[in-house]
Amino acid sequence: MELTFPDILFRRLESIANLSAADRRTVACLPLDVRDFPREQDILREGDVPSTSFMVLDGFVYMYKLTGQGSRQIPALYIPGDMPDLHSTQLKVMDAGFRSLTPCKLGFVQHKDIHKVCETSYAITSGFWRMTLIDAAIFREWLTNVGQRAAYSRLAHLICEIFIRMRSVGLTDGMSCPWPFTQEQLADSIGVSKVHINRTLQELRGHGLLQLDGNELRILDWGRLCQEGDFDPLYLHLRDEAIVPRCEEGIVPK
Amino acid sequence: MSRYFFDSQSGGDHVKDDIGIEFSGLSEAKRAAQTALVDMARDQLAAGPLRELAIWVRDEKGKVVLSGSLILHLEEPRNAN
Repeated sequence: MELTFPDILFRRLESIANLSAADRRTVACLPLDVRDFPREQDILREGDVPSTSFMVLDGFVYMYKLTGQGSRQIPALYIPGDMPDLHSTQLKVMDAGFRSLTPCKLGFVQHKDIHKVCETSYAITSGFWRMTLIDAAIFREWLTNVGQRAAYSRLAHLICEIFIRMRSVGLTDGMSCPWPFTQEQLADSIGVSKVHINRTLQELRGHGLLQLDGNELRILDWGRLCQEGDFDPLYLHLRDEAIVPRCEEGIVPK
Repeated sequence: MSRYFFDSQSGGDHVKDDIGIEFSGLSEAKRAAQTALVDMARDQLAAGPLRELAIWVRDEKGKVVLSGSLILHLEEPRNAN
């Protein structure tokens, strides 16, 4: 399913904040420069000073940091509706890079236009602010994930998170959702080697928790996946708790 | 690029790789197997009673081109009080 602006941004903002009809009209009038990116292309590099922020309209994006030795860490993954560099409206120099993970459609908004809509509505300011605060909450959770959980649990946790975030913007189909991540991207996201990711994915499959079919993930046992991943969606701060499936959902009869 | 398959064994848990990973050659696959053993050790040898891990690398024809293992040895000195 492909969504367009402003629907996708409404879905994201309204999953975490309350917008009035007037706020929706204001957001819908944001001038947007829509650009297509092929997969694995730099959107922003560390050190860049952008005058725009972008929102993901279609596709997936990741943030990356490189160590002095050239090892890569992916500290965050972004899905449609997210505004990965919204913080650049306040922090002028990029301290991390952003790349397209899949072919992407991105909408670039001038910082001055974001500042302008924020001046007109406290609810919009609050929604944007909340988006960046939730990004920070996700970083805290990822840090805990990478620092304290075993690979099996880390990967289960990441799968639960992506699924719930996709579901909160209406991009899942039952217990299925797009899963475009390569083993290398997953390895750099949770800090283990490619071979270990490969092994861990096959363990999760072997234990009947999920199925991977090309670029699609299907969760077969949501309750157990959450349990193995030690996953509690509290840190995503979603308004609608019903977004989270019930434990018995997604269990495929044997 | 060639595809290599990494089967592994930890305790009674045998994971057969039917996906594989592409590497430029055997030396790169060998380094990956080494890192994987260390990753597995952190998850599986760090806390539990398990003491040994093993990994086998197969090429596209199914031939085992590398095998590796990691053994954790702990011993108390005999004169310990």
